[in-house]
Amino acid sequence: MKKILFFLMFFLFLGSLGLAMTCRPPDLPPHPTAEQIMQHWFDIKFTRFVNDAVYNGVNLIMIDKSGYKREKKAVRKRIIMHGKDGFDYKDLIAITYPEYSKGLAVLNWAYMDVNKQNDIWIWLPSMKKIRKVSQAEGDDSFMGTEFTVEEVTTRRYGYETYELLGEEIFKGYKAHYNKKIYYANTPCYKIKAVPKKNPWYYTYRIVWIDKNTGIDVYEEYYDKRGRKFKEIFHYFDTPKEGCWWARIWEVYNFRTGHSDTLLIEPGRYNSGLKERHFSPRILERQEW
Amino acid sequence: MKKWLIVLLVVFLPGLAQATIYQKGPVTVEGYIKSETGVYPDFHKWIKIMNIVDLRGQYKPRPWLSFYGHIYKWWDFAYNQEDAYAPAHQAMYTNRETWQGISWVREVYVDFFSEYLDIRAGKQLITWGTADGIRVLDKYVNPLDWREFTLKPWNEIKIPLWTLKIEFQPTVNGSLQFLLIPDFEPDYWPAVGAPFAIGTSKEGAKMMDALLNFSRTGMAGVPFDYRIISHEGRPGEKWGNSKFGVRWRDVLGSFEYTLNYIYSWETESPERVTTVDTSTMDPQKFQELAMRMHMSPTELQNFLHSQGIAPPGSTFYFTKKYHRINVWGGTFSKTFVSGFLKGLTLRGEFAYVRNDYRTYRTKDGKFKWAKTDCYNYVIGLDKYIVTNWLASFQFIQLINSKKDIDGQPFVWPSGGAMDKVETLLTLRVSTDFFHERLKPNILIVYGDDNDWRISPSFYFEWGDHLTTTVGAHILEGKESGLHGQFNDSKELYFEVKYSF
Repeated sequence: MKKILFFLMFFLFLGSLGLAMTCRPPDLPPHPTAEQIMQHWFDIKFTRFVNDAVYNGVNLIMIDKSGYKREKKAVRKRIIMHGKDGFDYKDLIAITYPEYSKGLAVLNWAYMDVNKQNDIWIWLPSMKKIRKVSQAEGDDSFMGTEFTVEEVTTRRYGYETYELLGEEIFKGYKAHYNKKIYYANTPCYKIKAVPKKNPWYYTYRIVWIDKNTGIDVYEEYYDKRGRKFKEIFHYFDTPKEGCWWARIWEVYNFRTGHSDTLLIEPGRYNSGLKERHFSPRILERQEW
Repeated sequence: MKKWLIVLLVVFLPGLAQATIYQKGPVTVEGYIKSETGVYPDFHKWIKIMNIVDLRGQYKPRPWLSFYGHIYKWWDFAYNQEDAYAPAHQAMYTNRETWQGISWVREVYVDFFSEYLDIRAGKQLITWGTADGIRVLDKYVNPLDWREFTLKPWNEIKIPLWTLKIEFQPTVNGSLQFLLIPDFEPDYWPAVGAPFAIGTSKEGAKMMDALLNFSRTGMAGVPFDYRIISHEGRPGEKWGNSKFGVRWRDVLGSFEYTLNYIYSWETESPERVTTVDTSTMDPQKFQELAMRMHMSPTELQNFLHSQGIAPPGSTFYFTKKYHRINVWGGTFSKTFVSGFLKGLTLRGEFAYVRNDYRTYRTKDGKFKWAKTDCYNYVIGLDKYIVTNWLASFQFIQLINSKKDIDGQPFVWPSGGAMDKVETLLTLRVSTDFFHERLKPNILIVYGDDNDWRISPSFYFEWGDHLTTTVGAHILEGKESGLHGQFNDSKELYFEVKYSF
């Protein structure tokens, strides 16, 4: 009996290791609903399929209508809490470029309850102090880009209602920053997402989800007059074997002619980060 | 000197135009050059023409070990340009003894990081406070350089100290910080004649001038020729004179708090002790004076004593006396993440100082110092009101346990009377435009004696390296008020910064 118990525990342990050490999301179920598709996408977006993620660098390129280019760089790490103490994830991002913004760091604790705002601490290098702040409004610009705070950090499953419009071939997206075409002729699910907040800065968005990977490759934003005013593109590395990494996020605003591209340098998954690495003390270290 | 500057600019500017943060292996070097120009609103006089070189370097051979150095060197040419500042120039920039605390080596420390323990040893700045525009707990850790009053970011005007900081994190979010500061620097006050010289300094200087004048002219045509000796009175450099602090910080849900204690020094307003040594009296002058005043030596001695006048040739010792103080305090921040108050941040800071020494004015107009307990606190509210408009409001009270000493109230650094309870309100509103390139900001401080500070500013990012700031400091109120004392020092300023 003891031997059986031992083997059971051993296999349970191996199973848990496998679960914890994965670095790619599970497959979409066959014939998924709109809700399943979107939930799956948010799990990918927030890397809920890993225990933690360290990005070697996040490079933000901002190009205005005239072609004038600005750049910001950051480092980022995240621990997935898998619901422990009601938390979804804890995340630390620190600006490393340009010099005048360098050192600004944001510690973000996100809750499972989508009605709760995040707890946020900011390290202000100009004052050498930590400040606990309220979450920025969802429609505020993310780091001065055309992305909103909601699009990058706060929007989660449950912020919108979803309707599966059908399946369609996505013709491809030509990136503004390098003019390359991505995801040409990709079979996609087409989903209409309507925000629960009303009025909100968009009336609805059309989301193109890659049928094979479940990745939201392209989003179109529409205003109350039904005009498309913004598009967002996500590119992921999805090798058949190995880890999936977000690599490019790009936004283009048709009203302003401004585009912003986030280029993400993969780092490590499941590197053993601990919850204590996401406490205010870490902000005071100013390690970056 | 000017020629050398031009040569240096010609040689280095083209390289600087390409310069950016240097990072190679474990070495990172970055910095900026900055020009800050301040002028009176009628453009008749400069307040500052400051050029700054800031250079920071880090060597991190291991993830757990890092060496950091920060050089901050500035030159203020307004003191060369304006004749009115000449006395202040001599006192503040030529006499090195008076500003030894303001070294161009701003920070230099070594870091050791581990899972549970972080150690930072070296010259550094410590921040305990959470309040804007006022220092409640912080003032007892690092002293302040008041050359531009409190108009610049704290980080630029705090005086760094050699400190050993140990941070131990026994729980997931709870950490215990120990500070050992075997270094002493007093607050640095601008000399009389400088744009932001404070009221008590001016009054003190007037009293000194009167004494010097009397020393020269004397009585009945006999000069008194006093000897005047000033002592900084700094505590000796020994371990027993170190500051010692401890802070516990924890996060409970959305509530963060700290509990703080520091055994510190009162460095903002040290007691001035005046002693007169009559043993150095000049007997010849005394005899001459007695003769001219038709008094016997005994009668003259009694007369001088009754008038509080030291005999000719006496030695005056002016000594600053720094007092030990115990400070207990704490901070808290609570973010409302759900419910009716969602999006609101409530924060507070409190300090209780036992036996603080404060200045009061005696009935005959002199300054004296007396003990009083102080209770200072700030309650702040922060909220995004519309999308990216952040409003931050603070209610501040500074309370002395004693209302006065023998009917004489304590005084502000301006020299004005301080109520037992002083109330200040602050409001900061900030936002951004053009993809966060333009960042307007306004800070309004109101004191309950109708004392005002209004500081609007506009910061603009021209590119990855170049930023500018245009702004103003409008200080209004009674001449004896905290801000009103600078009624005449309203400032328009322009800053241009090139980062690399």
